[in-house]
Formats: sequence, C-alpha cells, structure tokens
Amino acid sequence: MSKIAYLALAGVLAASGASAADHAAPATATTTTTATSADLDAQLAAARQKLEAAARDVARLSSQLGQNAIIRIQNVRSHAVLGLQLQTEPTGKDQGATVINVSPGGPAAEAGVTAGDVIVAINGEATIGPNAARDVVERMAGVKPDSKVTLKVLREGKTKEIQVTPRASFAAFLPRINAPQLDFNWAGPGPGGSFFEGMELADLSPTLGQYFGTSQGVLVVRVPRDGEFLKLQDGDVIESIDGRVPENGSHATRILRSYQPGEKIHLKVMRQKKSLELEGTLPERRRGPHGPRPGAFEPEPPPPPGEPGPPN
Amino acid sequence: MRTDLDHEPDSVSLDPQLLQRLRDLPDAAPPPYGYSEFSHRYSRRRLRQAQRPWRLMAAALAVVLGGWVLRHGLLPFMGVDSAPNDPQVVQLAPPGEPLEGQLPPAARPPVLLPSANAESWLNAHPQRALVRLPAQMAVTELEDQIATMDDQLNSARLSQTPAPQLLVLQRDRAQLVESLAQVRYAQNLVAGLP
Repeated sequence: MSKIAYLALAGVLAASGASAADHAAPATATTTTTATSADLDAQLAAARQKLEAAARDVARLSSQLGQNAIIRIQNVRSHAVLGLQLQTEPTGKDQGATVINVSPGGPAAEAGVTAGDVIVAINGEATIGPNAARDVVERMAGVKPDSKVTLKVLREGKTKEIQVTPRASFAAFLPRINAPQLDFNWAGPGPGGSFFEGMELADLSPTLGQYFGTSQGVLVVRVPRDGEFLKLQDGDVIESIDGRVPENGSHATRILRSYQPGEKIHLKVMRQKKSLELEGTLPERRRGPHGPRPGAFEPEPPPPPGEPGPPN
Repeated sequence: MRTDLDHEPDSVSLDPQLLQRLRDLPDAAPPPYGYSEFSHRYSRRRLRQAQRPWRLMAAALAVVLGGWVLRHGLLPFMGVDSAPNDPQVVQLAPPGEPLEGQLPPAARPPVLLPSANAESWLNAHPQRALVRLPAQMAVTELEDQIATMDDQLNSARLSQTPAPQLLVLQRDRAQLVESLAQVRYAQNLVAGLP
C-alpha cells in the first residue's frame, strides 16, 4: 500500500486510540472530556463517511478507465470468464496450462485456484500439450456464465478437482463501439447503486441458517435507507433473487447490481421462519428539471469561466 | 663403486645461460624463516580454514538479509517497487518476442509495478462475510473488470497482439488492481478493521 495509506491508517488508529482512551476514562471524568470524546466519535464517523465516498469515487473513475481499456481491445469477447492468466509461452513441458496469476475476487480465486496450478482438464476434457493454454481459452469460449465448470489441476504433484462458476464477461455489458450510446450509467457503483445505500448483507453460515430456518441465501443485516420499494426488513434472509440463489454477500451484490432503474425485482425471503415472496420496482432516476436523485452519481458541472481581465 | 665422484667440479657441464642467471642473483638473499615463524604461519592458516564455513554462512546471510530489506523494507518507502519478479510482467511479451527493444523507453512500465503489492495485500485480506452496499457494488464491478481483462490478456497473447497494446492493457489492469486494493482498504477502515 502507498505511504498515504499507511499515514491514513496511522491517523485512524491514533483517532481510535484517543477515542478508546476517552471511553476508558474513570467515571469522575469531567463533562469537557466526555464532550471531547463525543466530538471525536462524531469526527471519526464523518471521516469514515468521507473515506467511503472517496473510495467510491476511486472505484467509479477506475471503472470508467477499465471500460475504456476493455473497449480498446480488439475482438472483444463476451463469453464467461474464469479470471486467471495463463502461461502462453511454450515451456517445453506437456503437462498442461500453468496459471501465472489469479484475478483478485474473480471466479477462479473464489473457487480456490492459485497461481502455479496447472490445468490439465476442463469438464473432463484434457488440456495437455504445447497448446494447453489455447485449449483452455477455446474451451471456455463455449461455456455459459453461471454454469459450473470443473477444472482438474495439478498442484504440488497431486491432482485436484476444483469447481468454478464463471461469470459473465464485463465486455458483454458494454455498449458496442460505434453503436448509439445507451442511456445507461455505468459509472460508479452500478446503475442502481444509490438505491441500495446503507444496505448490509451477511453470508449465511450453516448455524445461522439453522437459526433463521433456511440453508441458503444471505442475511439482510440492514435494509437500504431508501429501500421501501424492496419491502425488506432487517433480519430477513434473501433466499433467491428472480430465481438466482445468492451464495454470499458479494454474489447477492453482483445480482442486485445487474438491475436497471425501472426494472422489477422478485425476492424470495425467509422472515421469522416463514417463507415470503416480495416484489418491487427499482425507481427511475430523476433527471431534467427535478435534478438528480439524492446520492445518485451525476457528472461534475464544468468550472465557471474566469473573470475577464482589465481592458488594455 | 661411484666413479662419478672422482670427477672434478669443473667438468660438470651447465647451461651457460643458467650459469649467468645464477651469477646475477643478489648476494644477500633473505634468509628462510625459522621454526617460530613457520609455526605462527601454520596456526594462522588453520584458523582461517576453521573460520571459512562461518564466513561463507555470514556472507550468505548478509545477502539474504540485504535482499529482504530491499524488497520489503526500504523500497516501498522509497517509492520503488519489487514487481520485476511478478510473473505477469515477465509474461508480458508474446512468445518469442522480447519486450525490450520493441518499446521506446518512455513506454516502459513503472505504473505497472504497484499491482504486485496491491495484489499481495488483497490476497492477505479476503472478502469479509458482511458487506455494505453500494461500496460493495463498486468492489464487485472492479473485480469483474479485472477478471475480464485477465481472460482477454490470455486471448491477446495467444493472438500475437503487439507488445505495446499488451503493455497498455497490462498497465490499465494494474491501475484497476491498485484501485480495488484502495477501495477494499477503505472498506476495512470504515468497518473499523485493521
């Protein structure tokens, strides 16, 4: 991480330390000390909000950059992706396709594939020989997103089978070059991102599942701030979203991210051990004279022109 | 019986050049060292031989320690990265086409390098079980873009895409990874985690 990140961490730790020290003060502490502590807490909360907003800005701008890069690539393919880089140079060994890097947070990484693994088969079909990397790429071209793929890999001399769920390529969602631009805001946390502001989701462990009366889905720890359209409550377990079963919080996020303003969402939830079906529609974005919806991303207006200079 | 003992020394035939050299030698040659010097030199040599493995070990340790300090200690604070060991950088050029010499020096990639640190940080901090929206939407979007780029890098390398194009793609990927690490780091800070 960068030096700035270290400094930020040090600052936050210092602030947390100060806050903790204030909390640990004896009961005889003065009112001034309590007020300072509360003040620090408020400042810390505000700083965290700013940090979160800044992080989203970083993500939004980087995402735009990434889209441009993906569009630049010739022969953009929109098939399912595994999220790994393969050794494409011939190694002289005929053992298989060597994984040289795994995309952080990608399907392969989630499934447990690591750099150094050697893919020797996909869905039972061997990928061995000098063209093993090409075989893997070509086999993946025929795979549909969200279908299960079994990779047979060599790791430390032993074979292992890993089941990966490839995701849809990001390129599939991008407008085609020279095609009319869609009214589609890819910037920031997704088209409907702001509608889910404040929502918190937790993975459902088997024990938690037993407690809530289900074995699948994600737990809604907190509903979105403006999420009346979803009709969810804190403590609900989302078992499926339009038939898709969320495996964890990140997966649920990916599913929710795919919805556009104005689209309907059908949820199957478990509430107090009773199964319910909920339906909601993502609100349309407000535009034009009404201005942007609060929290929604809108591009920055251009800066005002500078003052004219004095006449010569 | 040794008849040769009866010969006079003058009769020994020597090479005239050798004789001349012998005559040219200085009269006062340094006397050979005595027993005490011999004993001193011998014990010193024994000591050196006994210390040799320790010296080798110390040198090896110093090299390893120096390498570790450069890689993990000083360089990140000096703004230099250690990613030349990163396999993705090594693999950048298409098969049989060395990257060096194909690109102008200005196109070479210091911006590529930060992703190695960012990736190791991301690997060391797996996704939390509790996620908060919409920040998590931003995270998943970046992750999906990186995964797409990685798959397309495979296709690009196999289709012999020119190295400069690959380099640009690689640089953009590195920036996305860096951003992902920053966003995830911010998420951790907001959640009050180290």
